[in-house]
Amino acid sequence: MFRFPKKISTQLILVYLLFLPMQAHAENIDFKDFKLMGNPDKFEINTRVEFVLTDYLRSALQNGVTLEARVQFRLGKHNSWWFNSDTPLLTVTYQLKYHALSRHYLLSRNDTNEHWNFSTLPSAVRKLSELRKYSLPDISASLGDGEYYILAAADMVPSSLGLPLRIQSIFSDQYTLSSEGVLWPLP
Amino acid sequence: MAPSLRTFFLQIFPVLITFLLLVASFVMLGISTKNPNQSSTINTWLIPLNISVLVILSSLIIYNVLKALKHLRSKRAGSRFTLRLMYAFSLLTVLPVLVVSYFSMNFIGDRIDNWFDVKIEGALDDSLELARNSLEVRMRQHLFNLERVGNALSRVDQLDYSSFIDQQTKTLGAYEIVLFGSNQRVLVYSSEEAGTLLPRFPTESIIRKLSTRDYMYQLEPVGEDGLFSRVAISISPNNNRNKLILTALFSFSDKERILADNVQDTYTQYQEISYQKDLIKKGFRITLLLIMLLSMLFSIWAAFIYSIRLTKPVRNLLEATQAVASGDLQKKLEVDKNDDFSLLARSFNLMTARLSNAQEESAASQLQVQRQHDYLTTVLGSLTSAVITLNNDFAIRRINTAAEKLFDITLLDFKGKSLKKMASQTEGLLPFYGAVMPYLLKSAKSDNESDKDWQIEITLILEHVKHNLVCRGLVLPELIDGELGYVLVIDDISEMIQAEHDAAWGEVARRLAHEIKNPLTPIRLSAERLQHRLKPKLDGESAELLERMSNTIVHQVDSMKNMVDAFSEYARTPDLTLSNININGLIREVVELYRINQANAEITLNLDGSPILNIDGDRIRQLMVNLIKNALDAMYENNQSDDNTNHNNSSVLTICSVVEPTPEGGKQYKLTLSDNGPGIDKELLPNLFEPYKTTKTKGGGLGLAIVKRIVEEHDGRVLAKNNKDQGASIHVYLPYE
Repeated sequence: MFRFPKKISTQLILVYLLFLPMQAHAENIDFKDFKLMGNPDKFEINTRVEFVLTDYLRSALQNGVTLEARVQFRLGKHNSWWFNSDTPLLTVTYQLKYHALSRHYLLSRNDTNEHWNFSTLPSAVRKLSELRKYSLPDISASLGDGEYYILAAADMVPSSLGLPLRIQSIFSDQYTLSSEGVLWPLP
Repeated sequence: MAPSLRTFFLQIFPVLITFLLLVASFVMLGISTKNPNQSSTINTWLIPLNISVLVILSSLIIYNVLKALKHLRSKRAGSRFTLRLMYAFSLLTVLPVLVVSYFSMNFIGDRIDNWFDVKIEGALDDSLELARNSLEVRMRQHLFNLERVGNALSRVDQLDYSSFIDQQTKTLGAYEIVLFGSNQRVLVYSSEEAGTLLPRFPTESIIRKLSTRDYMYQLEPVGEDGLFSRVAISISPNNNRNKLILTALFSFSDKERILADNVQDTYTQYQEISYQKDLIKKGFRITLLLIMLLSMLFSIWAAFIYSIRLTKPVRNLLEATQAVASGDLQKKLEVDKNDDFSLLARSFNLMTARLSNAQEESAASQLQVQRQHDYLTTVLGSLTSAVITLNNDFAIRRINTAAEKLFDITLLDFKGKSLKKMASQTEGLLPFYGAVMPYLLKSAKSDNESDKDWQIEITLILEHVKHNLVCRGLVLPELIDGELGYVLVIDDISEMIQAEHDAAWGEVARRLAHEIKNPLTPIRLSAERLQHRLKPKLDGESAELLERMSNTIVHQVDSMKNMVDAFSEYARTPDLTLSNININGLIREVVELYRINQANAEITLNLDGSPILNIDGDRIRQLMVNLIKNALDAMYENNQSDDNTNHNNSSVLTICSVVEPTPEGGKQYKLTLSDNGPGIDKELLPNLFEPYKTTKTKGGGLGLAIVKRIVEEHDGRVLAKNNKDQGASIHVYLPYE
């Protein structure tokens, strides 16, 4: 019978453990068509953040639960001998809720105080996904020697119901969406 | 570490920390339950804190249970009692908590279900529908107004559209009116909000709805401004083919808007809670369960600690009792004045102190008894008299060394056994038993004091040696156990009698030598002279008679002289000339003289080594001569009598010598002469070494008496006994240094 050498088996297990959390969140939120343009004084981002709502979130949304989405950008620095370090740049936050009286989906962006309403959920989510010409703050002062990158991560959670212990997240991963940490090196 | 600090860090500190963590967890749970939205930081720490407390409490409980089981397995004092108390307290704690938990869970579920009454839900749906209908009426009115604008617009020149629409906006009180071209481009935009430069329209939604019919109306929430009425129509001004879209946004009155917002908010809030009611149930149940679990674990742990502390005095007492049972009377219990067990501990300490004192006194008494016993043993051991003590049943309690030596017995063999058994199992002691028992029985039964102290003389033959004993019996006073006792004191007076006997024989010999030997020479000379003078003068017959008579006188005088000489020899005062001599060499020399003997006996020598003894050579030579002659004579006479019946008998005299250890630890030289003659007459055997005790026809009867005297002159001893098969043996023991 064929057996893996012990060293190789250990490495396989480590690789599996490394990719296990990625696989668990691979279908929730995904960054597509990411483009980083400009220079350190003013970087602009174009991307599409695809939110795939779970059945629970769709149902919760139509039953009055407000969904909160966050897209976070961080400036990271690669370290060859230690963990990579990163600092937060900015966060884009959205609120998506259903207006029962008008049967409309209301989308609002908190940082710019913009509001949209949509008669269908896909159109609201499509709007939520678009992030065009989004300007990052001036990071030229933060850059030094070494390799830097922009780290983006997104999540979507139902607004807190007012329950102790935040038990929603205990029972199922249907309650929250989250993306992998995706990074792009600075041009 | 001082005991107080040790106690604090090992016992009080963990309890305190755990208790504080538990209280903190409960407080945070309380805050989180009351106002979950405003306690996000608390919520962040709540679960790790609760998990930590759970782990700590579980670990402490497991540790205590394992410790208790370990103590039980090692059979430590009080471990079973402690474990039972822990079990009982835990059960008493857990059962009420479980019951309360069960009913609380159900109660929470029922209460939350009651929140979401079907009637309320229906009423909310109805109010929402009512609000929609109410607003729809308003929207239809807005649509009607817009249609009037559309109709009027067909009569207006295209260049005046903008001014006309602005005018209508003001007239109708619309929020905005927009005219789209056929290519969905904004032809005219009119709004009361002057700052809105880039309005956003739900263009796609409007076009989609207008595609089925020429009008549409809908409610449209706009940002934070609230609810608006969106109306739109398709128009074809001036019968133009291209259809334009005219849309307007109307605001509702404040009252309508507030009412609509209230309905919307209430409905949304109710729906949100209703949708998540299972989650709410779970949340509260888990919170309650967590609180119950933490309380239960803390209570169990507290029950364990309390059980251990409660049973500590009992465990200490049990351990101390075991220590006392194993002989440690110095064990003391700590007396705590605040403890109910202090009286018990004090009593225990007092008891052990008294036991310890009693033990010390007992040990001292035992030591004293042992000393007295040793003293008595020493005294008895040093006595030359044999002492035997008996109990009421005449069983032997003690025999001293002299008695063991005299009777050749060992105390251990007969201690506790009856005197009769000792007498029956020891050769030659039955006469002793027969002699003393009547006196012992008499002294036991009689009340006469004279019967309780008696004395008799007993003659015993022990090891073929005659012993003259004086036995004195005495009734001992009552012993500690109330029994009577007897003591027999036995003195061997054989040597004393023998010495008196020897002295008497010596005196007789000296007198014989003095009174008889002196006249013998003149008698012999007179007889010879008579024969010499008268024989020639007498005739033949008378001369012959004279010669015969005178010869008889001479021979008898010679015999008497020989007898007197022998007596002289026997009575001669010892005057030893001691020197170191190889005794085996001396024996060989003597034996060579008797190789050719009258009895034709073969003399076999078996002499071990060449021991040097400090002896008088002449006397020992005489001793050997007497012994060999005695043996040869016995065998010769035996041969003479046997010649008539059996001619094949051959005489053998075996002489052995060996150096052997003595019972006292020294060494002695043992010489044995063993023949195959007729043996010694049993009646003669006890008195064999006394003068004139002989069965031989020859000799004067002093040979063995002289042997005995020579041996005793050399501090030795001699004994004779018959061989098992044939003949007799003489054993001579001489000291060897």
